[in-house]
Amino acid sequence: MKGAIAIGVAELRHHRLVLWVAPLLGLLPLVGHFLVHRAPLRPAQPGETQFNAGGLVWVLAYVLSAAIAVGLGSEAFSRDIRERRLAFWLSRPLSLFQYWAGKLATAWLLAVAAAALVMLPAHLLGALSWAETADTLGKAIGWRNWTLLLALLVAGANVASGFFIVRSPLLALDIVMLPVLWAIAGLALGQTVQMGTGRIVSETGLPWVARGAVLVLLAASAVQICVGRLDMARGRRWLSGITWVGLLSLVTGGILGFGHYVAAEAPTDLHLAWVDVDAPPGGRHVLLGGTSSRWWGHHFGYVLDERGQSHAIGDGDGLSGWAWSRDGRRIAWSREGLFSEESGARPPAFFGLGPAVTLLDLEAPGREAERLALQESGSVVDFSPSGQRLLLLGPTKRVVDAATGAELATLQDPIQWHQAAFVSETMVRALRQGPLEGVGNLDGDVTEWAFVVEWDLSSGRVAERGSVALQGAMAWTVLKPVESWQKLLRLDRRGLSLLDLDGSVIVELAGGWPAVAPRMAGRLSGGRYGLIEEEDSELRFRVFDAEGAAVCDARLPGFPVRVGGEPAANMLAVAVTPQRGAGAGPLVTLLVDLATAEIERREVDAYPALAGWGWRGFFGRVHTEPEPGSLATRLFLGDDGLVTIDPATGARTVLVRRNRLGER
Amino acid sequence: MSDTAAEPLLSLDRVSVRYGRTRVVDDVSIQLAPGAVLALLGRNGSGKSSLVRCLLGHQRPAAGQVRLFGRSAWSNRTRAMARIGVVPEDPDAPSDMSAASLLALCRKLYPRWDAAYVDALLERSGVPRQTAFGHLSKGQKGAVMLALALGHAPELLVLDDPTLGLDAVARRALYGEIIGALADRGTAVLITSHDLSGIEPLADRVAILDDHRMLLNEPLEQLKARYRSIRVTGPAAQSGIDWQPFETLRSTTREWGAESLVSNFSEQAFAAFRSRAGTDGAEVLSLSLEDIFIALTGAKEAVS
Repeated sequence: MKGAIAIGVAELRHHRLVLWVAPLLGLLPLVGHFLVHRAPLRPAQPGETQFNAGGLVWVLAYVLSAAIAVGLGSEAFSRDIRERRLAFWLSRPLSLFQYWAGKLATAWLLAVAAAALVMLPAHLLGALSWAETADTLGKAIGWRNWTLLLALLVAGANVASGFFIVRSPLLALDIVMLPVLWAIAGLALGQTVQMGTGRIVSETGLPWVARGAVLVLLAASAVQICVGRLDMARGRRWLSGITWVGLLSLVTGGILGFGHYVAAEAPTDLHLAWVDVDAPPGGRHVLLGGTSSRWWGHHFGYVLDERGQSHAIGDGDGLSGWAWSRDGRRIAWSREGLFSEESGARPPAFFGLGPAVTLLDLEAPGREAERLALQESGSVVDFSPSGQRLLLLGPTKRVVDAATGAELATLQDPIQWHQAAFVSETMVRALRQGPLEGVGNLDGDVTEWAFVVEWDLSSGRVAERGSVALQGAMAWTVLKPVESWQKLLRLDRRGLSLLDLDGSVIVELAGGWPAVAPRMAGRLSGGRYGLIEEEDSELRFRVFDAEGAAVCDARLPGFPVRVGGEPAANMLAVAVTPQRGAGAGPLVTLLVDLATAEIERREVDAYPALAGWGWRGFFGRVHTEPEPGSLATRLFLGDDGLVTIDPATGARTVLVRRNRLGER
Repeated sequence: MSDTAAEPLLSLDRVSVRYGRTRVVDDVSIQLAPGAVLALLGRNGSGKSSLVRCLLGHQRPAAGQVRLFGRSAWSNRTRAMARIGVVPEDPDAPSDMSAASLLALCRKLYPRWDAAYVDALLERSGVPRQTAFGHLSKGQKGAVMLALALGHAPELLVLDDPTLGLDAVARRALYGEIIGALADRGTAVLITSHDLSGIEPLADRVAILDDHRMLLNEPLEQLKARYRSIRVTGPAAQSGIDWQPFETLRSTTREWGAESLVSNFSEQAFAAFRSRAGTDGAEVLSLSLEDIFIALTGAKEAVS
């Protein structure tokens, strides 16, 4: 330590000019402020666009500290090697590690100190606030990331200068290896994107890879000095060897290894309390998505079958959409390209980092997913009836060939479409958030307008079929296409209605409500519709036939939490609590006869995994309705985990056991 | 001096140094006892500097062992350096540091430091304390390097051609300081130099490297005793002389007679040589270390 400090002091003495120049540089923007504004200094206000001395000081602090990190890092040892001074230090009772550490630590400390000294005058003179700076360093920028970046610059510049200062044929290898390393990193990241773990790797893994890179570069430099000593060729070999072997191992091991580790996440790692289930009308599979208990804040998705076998869809944060084929045999999901959302730039198409749609045949042996690269991001929302086409939404609406990814039709429309679906191989219907021309008639009573549009794929023309007004808070409204997109079911403050595509009311199922109260509505099997209303101490349950006539009107105990699917023909699962609001008391799922409203079973501490009737407004894709008795309708979240319940006997079979350790 | 009387401070055992496929030192062994002064001689490129780097633990030999104070020089370099003073071929102290700051730095690094001795040495050499090292004259730089090497009273002083580039006055002053240090402290010295006349009064043992191998390694007194020049004048010299029993390094015939440089001179052999017909006028001349070195290492060029 004594030796390292002695070296550090010698280095500080050599570079003492930095300590003078930095505060003087920090004064320049303040002088500029006086010249421009002729007013006292003060911290800039949010949105202020005029000459901002404080902002300029920040920029200077960044630039100067980075420049010093690169400058001092690159000359830490190269100066001694160039001036044949290494032997002077080697001839002292000074451990080489201390010599090495003293040099590089001083370079890093000077870079940090330079930034602080640049900012000091601005704080002393009132152009920057101490509290805001502390806040910015603590949150927005992160002093850890900043100092890590400076360490990376010091170590990187040091190694790079080591490549050049000692003449060696290895320099050719070093020059080649840099792009090779980038290419391998890109390929490794692309692999993780394809595994569905790209986003978590880039957000959680890459900072650790950066830390690892600092360590590799420092190790390479340390070994060059400590083992190479005055045998420059030997030190040079170590430098190149450790740098490239270390960085390649780090990139492949760190990125790919971490990606595979994350991909090994299983449905049991999900926070089962918060999972979502989606399923096709037919088929034997469900899509299970939820928050990971291992990777906090990240979502994962799995396709699950009745035996509990799962196929990982991957990190749900990059998932932009999914669709089931009509027969439920195939699922397609789309992913954003890596970095695309944050940077706003077109995602890189090479290395598999760009957007893509993945298709999985759930009945095929081996279940090999097939990946179709996309030119542009898009959310896949539907398969065509034949399963040969896919519909993707985004600023450009696209229909692509499900086998090749080739674009069959495109439509530039920056307005969002919702509930879009094929009604035939050549026709797409959707709810558009605005009219095709002009502006919507937003009168005071209307909260939202939805416009029914039709996209004829043969002619490429888009036509507006009608418009629908919604009244009331979005959370309590429902607007969804029913009967194969031939009609619309609307639930809003006025009532529950079945609408034609032009927006006219075919039949009003319920209405005349005096007060706003939580209500849920949805389609039931056999062309029926259901409505649940929360009343004072119980819930009102009504079923309407296809013509709108009420076939059932009854009261059930408790307050509604979730309406699931139909676990058996003519039976609906309704989760209730004894008190108002979710989590207020023990959950009980009532299995209700749709004809008589009689409660056939009560399942305590279990609620439907499928949210059949969501309060979803008209957002999202068309919500598929699994057939009565299909897997999704029998899935419940119980104390043991995700279970299937036999509606006849109440027998429970655990599909995904609850991971109690993960439930933090 | 006895070779085996004490544990050697420095021991090189069959050391070889290679740079890639190029061999620069081949199978060299040296030992240095406390208080001894070894002159390591060799022509440019003979491998002296590489050997010095190895013995200081600055470089790892391709083969063989280097031990300092009984331990591996490579593994125990840091500890050994507290007991060794080094004066390099080129004064290599940081050029922006003054003598005063260099002394302050070294005072922190060494476990003991004789500040009074160092001050006196620099005083005698007229070294300004606050001038940057890079701005000192060559002689002053040499004095500073010697002060840094002697300040911690080393047991072993390694001088790698310390007089290179110095004028005669500076050389004399440097040797004076070294002799003083030897007399005062009994420091062992390993010195490499091309200034053979300068180091001859200092060295008590000589090792000569030639063609990357150790040509000889023996006490200087013994070396000078067995390497002599024998001169024969008169008519007998013109008709060819049988130099037996001497081993000749180089023989020349001139108008005035013949001369041979022999490597196994002894008084008995010389008496026998003189007793033969025609050689009774032979005379023996002593050789300087430089003469012996040139005869040994320049033989090939002389032949060619």
